[in-house]
Amino acid sequence: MVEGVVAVAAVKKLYNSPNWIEKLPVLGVGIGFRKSLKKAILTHRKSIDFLEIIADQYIEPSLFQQMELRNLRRFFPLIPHSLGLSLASADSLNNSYLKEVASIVRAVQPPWWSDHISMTRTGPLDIGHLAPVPFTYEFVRVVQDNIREMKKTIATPLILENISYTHAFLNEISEGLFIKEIVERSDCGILLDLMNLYANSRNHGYNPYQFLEEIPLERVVQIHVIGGHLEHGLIVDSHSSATPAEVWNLLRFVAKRVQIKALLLEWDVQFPNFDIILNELSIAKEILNGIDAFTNG
Amino acid sequence: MESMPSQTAKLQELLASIYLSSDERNNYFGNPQESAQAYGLCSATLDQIGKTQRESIDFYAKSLKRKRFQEIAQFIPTTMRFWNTSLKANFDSYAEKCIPSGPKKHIADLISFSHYLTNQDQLPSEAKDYLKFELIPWDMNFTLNEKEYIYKSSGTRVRIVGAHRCNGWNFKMIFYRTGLSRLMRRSKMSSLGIYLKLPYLSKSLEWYLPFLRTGPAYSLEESN
Repeated sequence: MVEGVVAVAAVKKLYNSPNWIEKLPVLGVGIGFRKSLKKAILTHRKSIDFLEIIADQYIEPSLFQQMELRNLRRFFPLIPHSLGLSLASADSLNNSYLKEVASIVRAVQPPWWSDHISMTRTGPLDIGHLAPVPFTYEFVRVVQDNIREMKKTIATPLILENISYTHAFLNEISEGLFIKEIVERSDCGILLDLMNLYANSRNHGYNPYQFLEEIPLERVVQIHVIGGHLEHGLIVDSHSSATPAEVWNLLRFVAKRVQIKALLLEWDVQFPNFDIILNELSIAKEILNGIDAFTNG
Repeated sequence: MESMPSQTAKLQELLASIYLSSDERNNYFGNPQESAQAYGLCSATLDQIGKTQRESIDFYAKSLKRKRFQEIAQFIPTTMRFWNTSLKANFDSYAEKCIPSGPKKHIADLISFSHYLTNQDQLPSEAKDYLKFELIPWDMNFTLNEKEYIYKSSGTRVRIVGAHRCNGWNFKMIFYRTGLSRLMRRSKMSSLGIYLKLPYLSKSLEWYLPFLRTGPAYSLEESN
């Protein structure tokens, strides 16, 4: 208990310092914890530096899940990743959901946690997944207000993920500028999902490197990489295949410019042989360490 | 003049409704101005979604349904293995009528979809039996050094496991479904437990299905 209080106090102190992102620990490369990968993850734990857990799966946890989290914590740093905070909802936060996420963050004591710049519900309607909002200053203010409220409950640093979207609106500003405004006004880090960026750039015809020039790269804490699939001419971020070359190239671009604290392979469905996952992790590690053939060639 | 935050909330309400309901989508793309009025949106706010293509919204709506279906499919793997196509077809019409919410929304979705299915005549009775079977919660009986621990699961836990014996430890775990344990008590076999392993699951089901069909051992309500 005392250990927990000390850890929370340390996190608060860190978050209040001006260059808190620089002071975050470097975790290395990890994967998303999925039940079907559990055995392989534990077998190959020396090749995996950290795990990301889906916070929503541990809401009102069963005895098994509490034990599972405790056991995983013995072997890996855990980063909670929530899906349903709906930070872009104009009708304020869902307090009971926020409290549940807070209790998971308290239990896991991570250096940071993450959610998305999106809405998942509005009023009584639960959309059930991440939905985009128009990139306007009004929505910057909505997200900013919600993060201010959220920080009253969770002191651990929040990093925000860019989402993929199949439909776009009439935007006031570019997506890069929208994210920049939100993270700078709210003093948050960025969880840069490079597959989402690649899919959006292909589906909506823009230059992903321009997006990377627009966002404050120094705020990038964590990266997501993975592959998707093509459906009706659109790239779908289905987390179901190996990372495409274009995404690795985006990672090289970012890794040359900032120190990435953590990189996560976000494989969710159609799991391959675990050797393929380990190979992806080793490619990522080489890029982060600046020793891959393409970076040096 | 209405405040901007209020318009933003209304815009999101309209967006959510067109994502979730094909009727709302038809109404909106049939006459955007009328839909906007119904949601109390001014034309300036409506302009933000004015040029969004119908196809891309349809694509997103379809992906929302597919994700919901995938979430519940993992809880009923055996039923899914045999009746995937008919369940998918039923889910499309069900998903329009029922939208779950809350932290355990996938469980709520599964339960209400099961209720929906029980009223569908086109679904074979075998499929309904399998579904009932998979919706019954697991019990776990855990024995360590002669002490017995009983873990009763809540909701619909569908963990396929085996019984384990570790050398040197007096350690035994038995997992079984409440409904089956009840059946066994009726047939005076409760001391046996059931050792389910994935490859044998189908066989176990085949053996028990006659009981499920003939005896009113439990109903879907009991598994909630």
